[in-house]
Amino acid sequence: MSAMTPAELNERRAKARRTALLLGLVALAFYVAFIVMSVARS
Amino acid sequence: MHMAHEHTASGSHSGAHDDHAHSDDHGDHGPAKGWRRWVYATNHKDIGTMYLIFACVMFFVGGFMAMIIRAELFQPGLQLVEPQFFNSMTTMHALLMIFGAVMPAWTGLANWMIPMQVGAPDMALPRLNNFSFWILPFAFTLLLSTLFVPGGAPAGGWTLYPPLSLQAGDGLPMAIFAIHLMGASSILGSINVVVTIMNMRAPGVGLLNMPLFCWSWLITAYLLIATMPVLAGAVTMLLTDHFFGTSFFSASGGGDPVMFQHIFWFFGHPEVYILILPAFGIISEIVPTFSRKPLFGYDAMVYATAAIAFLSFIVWAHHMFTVNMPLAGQLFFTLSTMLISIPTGVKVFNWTATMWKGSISFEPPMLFALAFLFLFTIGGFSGLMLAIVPADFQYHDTYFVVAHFHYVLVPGAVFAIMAGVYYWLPKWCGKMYDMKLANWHFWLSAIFVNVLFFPQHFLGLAGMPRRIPDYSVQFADWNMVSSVGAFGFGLSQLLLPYIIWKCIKSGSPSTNHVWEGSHGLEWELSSPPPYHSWTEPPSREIIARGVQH
Repeated sequence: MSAMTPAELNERRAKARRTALLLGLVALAFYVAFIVMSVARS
Repeated sequence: MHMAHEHTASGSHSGAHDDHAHSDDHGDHGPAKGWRRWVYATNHKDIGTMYLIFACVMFFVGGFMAMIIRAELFQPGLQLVEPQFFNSMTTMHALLMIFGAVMPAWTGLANWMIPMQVGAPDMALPRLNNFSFWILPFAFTLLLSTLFVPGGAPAGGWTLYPPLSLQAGDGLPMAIFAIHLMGASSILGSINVVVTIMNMRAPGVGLLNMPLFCWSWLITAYLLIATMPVLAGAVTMLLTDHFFGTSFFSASGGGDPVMFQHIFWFFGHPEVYILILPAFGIISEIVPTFSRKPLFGYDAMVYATAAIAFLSFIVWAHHMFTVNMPLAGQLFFTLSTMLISIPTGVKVFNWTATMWKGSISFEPPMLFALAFLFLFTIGGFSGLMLAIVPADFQYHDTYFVVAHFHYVLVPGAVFAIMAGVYYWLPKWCGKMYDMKLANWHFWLSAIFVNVLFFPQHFLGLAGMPRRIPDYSVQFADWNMVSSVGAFGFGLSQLLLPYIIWKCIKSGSPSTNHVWEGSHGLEWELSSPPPYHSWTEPPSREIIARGVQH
């Protein structure tokens, strides 16, 4: 199994960054959503 | 008899044993010298080691607090500490053990093992990994420093229910900030795990043939990403109620204290599975190895883990049956809670079926795994008892609950961590530990953990309330037995760091495969593994040899 080409490596890096950002946004959404829900209820 | 044959990638694969002559994200070099290696660490093994050391330190600090609790409860009456300090100890013990010991230990094991198991050179986001770890010492210094501020450390229990928790002194905002930091660390660590598993698997390592430790961690990471922000939201609102005049949870201002309980347990119940799912992964690695058989029902194990994770989101209110919820709510949460026993039962039966007619040997990792199997199941059964509403009305806030969750978390999560450490330690440091001492560690732990926690079932059923430093004389005998068990268990844990230290210092060299029945990519690497694990993806032959499903 040969090593990855630079283009493949770059693609993998970009994909990793995108996944991380998406998951960060999901976490942030949960944080905000629960506070908003509580504001709406109280 | 544990030493295995040598048919590893040793010498045949550059990724396994090379001199790090390659280039990638985190440098084409070995470790930096001195403190820089640790402060600026981006290597998954270094960071994993730091997580594990941190968890070990917190385990002993939290354990010391448990000793204070059990010393006070050794006999009725107030002997050693003030009631307020006693309650600070129960609160801090829980926070330290959950967020400081068990969770960082899992993250440490994830850091060490996931890249090696999926054929990756490192975690996907090494700098984020460094940041995730280094948040923790600050968070726990802040949390522990609340012991020295006016009003003392939080004493309202780790659940931080208002209005009680809002009566705390200067320690409250410090504890809340510490919880935010711990949450941030966990979320960032989880993001790294997901990104690594989804993006860094070597070609040929598919989702349905990667080790179950990776699977259980992948699902745990999703749970963490979804629930830690909920806890952060709850404590943020607690903070604004206390300092900024809001009334989220204050009945006098139109708020609802029970709403806090709902939000807290929406985080809190999945948190239980965050603590235990990685344990399921480790047990699923160890039982096949020492039974010398493939895992029974790999796919079913994956689906069962996912089912448990899903169900963990719809059972939260079983922690709060006594708030007088509607009958329909009681029935729903009882039934959904009982439903969890189905996928959990699938796991227990699959581990048992894996051992069936296997050629079982009883090295320390297997001993801890077997103890996990028996004792975690006891914790599961007492959980079923607590799921029944009328019974829960009797058991709620008694020592029965304390016995239940300690059976799940100590011979459950903690024993699984120890099983994992004894399983992979020879791989990590290239040396074999003292088996005799490790066996002593196991037997002392297994005996004393039962002496410690089993009598607490009787105390709870007899009506002894939790979080109270004094008790009626009718509870004296079993409390004394429980405290003796606690001291024995606490002392026997000192063996663990000694065994590890002795192993590193003077252990005999271990082989690459270490255990005769071990399968997985980590065993295809040298012992100890190279600084960067798989600088080139493992070949199809290595993957075929390593993967057994």
